[in-house]
Amino acid sequence: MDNPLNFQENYYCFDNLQMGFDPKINGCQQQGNEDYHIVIAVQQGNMGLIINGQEVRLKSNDFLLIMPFTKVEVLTSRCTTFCCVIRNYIALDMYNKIGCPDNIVENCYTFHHYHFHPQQIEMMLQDYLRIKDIMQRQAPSLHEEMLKAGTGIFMSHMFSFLAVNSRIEYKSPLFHRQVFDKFLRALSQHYKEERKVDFYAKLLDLPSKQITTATHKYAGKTASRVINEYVIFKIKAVLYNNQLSVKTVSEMFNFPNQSFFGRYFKRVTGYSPAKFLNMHSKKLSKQKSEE
Amino acid sequence: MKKNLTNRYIDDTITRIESTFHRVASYKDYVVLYDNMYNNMRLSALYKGESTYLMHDFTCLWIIQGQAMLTINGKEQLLDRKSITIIPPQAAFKMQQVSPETRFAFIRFSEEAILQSYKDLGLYMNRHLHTTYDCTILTTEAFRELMDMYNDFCQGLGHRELQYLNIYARSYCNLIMIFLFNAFDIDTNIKGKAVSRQENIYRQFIDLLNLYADREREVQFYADQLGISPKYLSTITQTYSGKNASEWIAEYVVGLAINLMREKKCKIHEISTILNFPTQSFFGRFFKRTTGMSPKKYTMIHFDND
Repeated sequence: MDNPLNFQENYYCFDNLQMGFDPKINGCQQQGNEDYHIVIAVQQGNMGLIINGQEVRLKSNDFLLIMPFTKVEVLTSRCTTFCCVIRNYIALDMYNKIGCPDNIVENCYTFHHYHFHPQQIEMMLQDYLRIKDIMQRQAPSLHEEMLKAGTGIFMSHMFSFLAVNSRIEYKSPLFHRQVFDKFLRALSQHYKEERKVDFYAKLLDLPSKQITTATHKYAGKTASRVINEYVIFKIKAVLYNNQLSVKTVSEMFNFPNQSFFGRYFKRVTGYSPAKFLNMHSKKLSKQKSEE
Repeated sequence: MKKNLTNRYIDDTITRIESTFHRVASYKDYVVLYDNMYNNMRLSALYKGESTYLMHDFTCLWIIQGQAMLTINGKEQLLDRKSITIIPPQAAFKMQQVSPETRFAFIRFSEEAILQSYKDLGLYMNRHLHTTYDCTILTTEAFRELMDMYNDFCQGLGHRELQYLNIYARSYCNLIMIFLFNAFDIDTNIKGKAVSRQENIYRQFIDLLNLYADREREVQFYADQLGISPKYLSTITQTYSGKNASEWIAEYVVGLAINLMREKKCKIHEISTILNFPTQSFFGRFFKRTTGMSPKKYTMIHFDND
C-alpha cells in the first residue's frame, strides 16, 4: 500500500489504486484501533479481516465502517481498495452535524459491513480522491476546514448510501457477546450520569464479574476501562466542538466539580482537558477573543 | 405594501436572471448554480434593459469565455476570460456590455448558506462579505479547480434521491467559500471588531433604502434615520461604493420604476403614484435627470420591440 497521507494525525487516507493488486499489506497487521473511525471500500478483488474475533470477508464493491475501540487484523488482501481514517471525536462531531442515524454511529466496539452498487463505489472514490487531493496540498489557508468540507462530502454520500443499502448481518449467539452488546447499549444511554460498573450490572441484572469477563473477551480490557474510554471519547467530542467551557462540560457529564473532572480526564488520557484544548488552540483563541 | 414592493423587485431580479441563464443545479434555495453554456441566444436580453439589478444574495460570478463589463455597487469592472468577481449581498449590479459569445457561470448563495459556512469554518461574520472587491484573474490551475468543483457540484446535486444532500450542499459551499477566500486573498484572521462603524452605517443605509425607496427620496430622511448628517452619509457611501447618497437613491428608485415598467407593464402615471411622486411630470423629470431620457423614450428603446 501507499504510505498513508496524514493530516495532524487526525485524518489519514491511503489506497493502492495506482499499484494494482498487491498481496502484501504493510503496517496494518493486528492493530488495536482505539481512536479512529475507519472506512474501507473495496473496489475489486477481496480482502479478509478479523475484527474483534469476527472474521469478515470483503468482496468487490463492499464497504466497511469500523468504529473505534476495535481490534483489527488484516488476513489477506488481493484487491484495489481505498481507505479513510478519521479521529473519533472529529468524526462524531461531523456525524452530529449530519444528523445520521444513531444505530450506526452510537455503537463503538463494532463494525458495519455493507454491499454497495458499483456506481456508488465510484462516487465514493471521487470523494476519496478529492480528500486526497486536499491533503496533498502545501498548507493553504484554512487547510483543516477544507479537509473537513471534503470529508463532509464523503460522509454525506456514505450515509446516503448506507441508508439505501442493507447491512450484512453477523449473528453472534454467544452468551458473552450478547452481554457485551447489552452493556454497550446501556452505556451509550447512561454514560452521562453513571460511570460505575455496579450501576450497569444492576441495570442489566447481571453480576458485574460477568460484564468484566465479556469486555475482557471482546475488547481486551476491564469494564471500568471500557466505561472510562467511552466517556472520555464523548467528552472529547463535546470539547472539540468547542462551544462549551470545561466547567459546563463537567456539569454536563455529572461530575461533582471541575477539579474532579480534570483529574478524571488526566487519569484516563494522561493529559489535562486544557492540554487537549491546546492541541486545537487555534479555535480556542478565536473563541476567546470573540468573547 | 412598501415591503412587498421591494421584495417583488428582488424576486423580479431572480426571475429575470433565470430567464436568461440556465439554472443548472440547486439545493432548494440554499445554493443555486447558473450558467449560459448552452443558451447564448437570450444573453442579450439581460443587458438590453440596462437597469440596475438588486442582488439580494451573495453571488460569485466568473467568465469562461468572452468579455463583459459589469458595474457592481458603482464600481466598473472589466471581466476577461478566467476572471472572477463577487457580488456582495444587497448590491446594485448592472451588466454594461457583454460580448455575444460570452459564457458565464455563477453561484448564488442564500443568506442561510453564508451564515452556515461562516459557522462551519469557525470564522467571524465580518466585513468580507459586504466589501466590493475588484475582479481577479485566476491562474489556469485555479480556474481548472473552480470549473472542476462547479461541474462536480452540479453533478452531485443532480442525485436528488440522496438522503443527506443538505450536508453535501453545505460541505461544497464551504469548499467554494474557502476557494473564494484564497482567490481574493481575503484575510480571514482579522481580529477585533468585525465591521467598522462607517461600514455598518453603509449597510444600514442600503437596508433602509430597501424599505423606504418607494416613499422617501431625500438624503435628509435617511440621514435622520441613521442619526448622522447628510454630508457624512454621502461621504460614507462615496467611500464604499463610489457614489454619493443621492445618486444611490436616484438609481435605486429608477431601478424600481424600470422594473415596474418592464415586468408589470405599468403606465407611467401608475408608477409615479406607486413610487409616491406628487405628479407625473415630476416623476418624468426625476427619471430624465437620472437616466438621461424620458420614461416614454426609455420604454420605447428598451421594451417596445419585445
